[in-house]
Amino acid sequence: MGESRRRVLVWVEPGTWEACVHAAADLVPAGVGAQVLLLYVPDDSDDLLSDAQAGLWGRRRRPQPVASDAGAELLADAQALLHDLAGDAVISTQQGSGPVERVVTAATENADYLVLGRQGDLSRRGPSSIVRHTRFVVDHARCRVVIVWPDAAPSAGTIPPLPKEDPRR
Amino acid sequence: MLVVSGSLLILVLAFAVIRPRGLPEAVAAVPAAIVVVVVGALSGHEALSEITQLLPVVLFLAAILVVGDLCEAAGVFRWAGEQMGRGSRGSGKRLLLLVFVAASVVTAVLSLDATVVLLTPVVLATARAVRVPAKPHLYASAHLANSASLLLPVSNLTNLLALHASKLSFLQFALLMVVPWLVVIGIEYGVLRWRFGSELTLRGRPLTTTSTRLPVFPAVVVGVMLVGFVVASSLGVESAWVAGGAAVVLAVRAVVRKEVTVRSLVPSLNIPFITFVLGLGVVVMAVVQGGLGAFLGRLAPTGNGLVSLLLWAALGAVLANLVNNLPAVLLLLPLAAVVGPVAVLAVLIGVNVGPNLTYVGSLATLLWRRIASDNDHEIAIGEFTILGLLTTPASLVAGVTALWAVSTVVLGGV
Repeated sequence: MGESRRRVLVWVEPGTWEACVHAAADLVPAGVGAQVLLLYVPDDSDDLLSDAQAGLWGRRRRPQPVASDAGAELLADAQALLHDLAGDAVISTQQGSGPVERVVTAATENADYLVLGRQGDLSRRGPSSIVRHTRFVVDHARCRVVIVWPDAAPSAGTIPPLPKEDPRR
Repeated sequence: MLVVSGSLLILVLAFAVIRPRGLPEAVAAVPAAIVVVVVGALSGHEALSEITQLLPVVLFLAAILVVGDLCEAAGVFRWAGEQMGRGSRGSGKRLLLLVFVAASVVTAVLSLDATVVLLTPVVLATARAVRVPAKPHLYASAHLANSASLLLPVSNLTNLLALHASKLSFLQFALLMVVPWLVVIGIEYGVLRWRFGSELTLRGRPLTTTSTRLPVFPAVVVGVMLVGFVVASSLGVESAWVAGGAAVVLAVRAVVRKEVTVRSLVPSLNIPFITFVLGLGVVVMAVVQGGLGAFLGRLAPTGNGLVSLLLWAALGAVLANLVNNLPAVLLLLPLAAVVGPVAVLAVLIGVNVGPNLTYVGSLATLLWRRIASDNDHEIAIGEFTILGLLTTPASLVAGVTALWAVSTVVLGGV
């Protein structure tokens, strides 16, 4: 049985995680016997913070630990929501570390599906709805990728018209 | 002689950037200061007079850093974080506005150090708790630590150094700088809103619980301290006394209430830092007197016209970006002071806002950290540098133009 379980990887990010969990639940209907990994990777804000402090010459460099339970809390909420929506899936959570897009891409090696959210310009359909680190994962993932709008998708009217010079016009 | 003191200055600056074995910057600066006197690049009398001039300034900074630390121990920054989290109601745009208010006020009142060391970590934690992308808020706080440090003489060490040279009172300084301060903050806000327009629309979660109440006592002491700066300045009393008084009042109360111990307060005084600034000041003075001053003096603009002021700011920004704003301001102040107070303020706009061009304050620090660090932060560097390129030149030009306009009205173009 273990061999045939559907493996779904959900990239949990602030702002998009609820929509991603809902999409993941659709991928693991009852009876499919799926396992879902909820993955959260903090961005490099902590490095930026320590770099900004390096610019202050001579002043104390007291380490300021940023409360790191935000990620654990986020994963716990995602797990609870998925448990409500897809009770019979085997759910696990993981907090990664390192360059976000590389960590998520590496995790796709052991997944059948990756679910991730659009974090860019959400007012119109188009490539700018996918930000740079998400784009990297979409381009390099090994498995199938499900890309989710965090809210209702913008209308088809936001798609640019066919260019005037296009011969198919 | 210029070769000797110049080489020593380069050595001191390189040591401060590289910090071999994590040794304090003063380890190179103090012996270098002694050497410039021993070899006769600066007379003992001149060195002593430089130290006497710098001493009140660095003592002031030590006091204000203690005030900041004690405000943190009393929960002021935790309270601010909770207020930002609750006030944002889950909206990234609203959170950004609140971060702007908090970072501008903290920088102006408690100096840029407090924003970088105490507020920015709270901003990051708040953005993560609200579950919105943290970058725009982190960038805002890091940028404003520099660009919102124009308002008061106490907002930045460079301002304190300049206050004496400018011969302005505390209030005159603030009056001349309030409009440039607002203009520069406005530019930062506009650029961040535009650049992160999409990330800021993602919804987070509203935070309702707040466990910290406003620590009233520290807030009142800081308020009284601000009024004290104005009064002391009009009476010709050094601001260091006022900040020192506030630090003592807060420290006694915190020790009595067992929030801190006397021992834990000692590092807050930053004694290695004080000795570093004094040592650096002496070495820079030797270089200036050895001929660099005369050389820069030929390059330096004269007059208080808009173009001259822009050149002063550009000179400040370039020098600050090469190494650090501290040596930049020490080098330029004696020259700008000859021209007048408005030229001094233009230099300040340059050395305070300029460091936002690179995200660690200067090219030297940036390069060194790239060499020294083994983790890959290339994306972040690119992102932050683009943001710096978008805001810094515009802020410099608009800030200096505002200063020129205000000074023309207030001082009649003095």
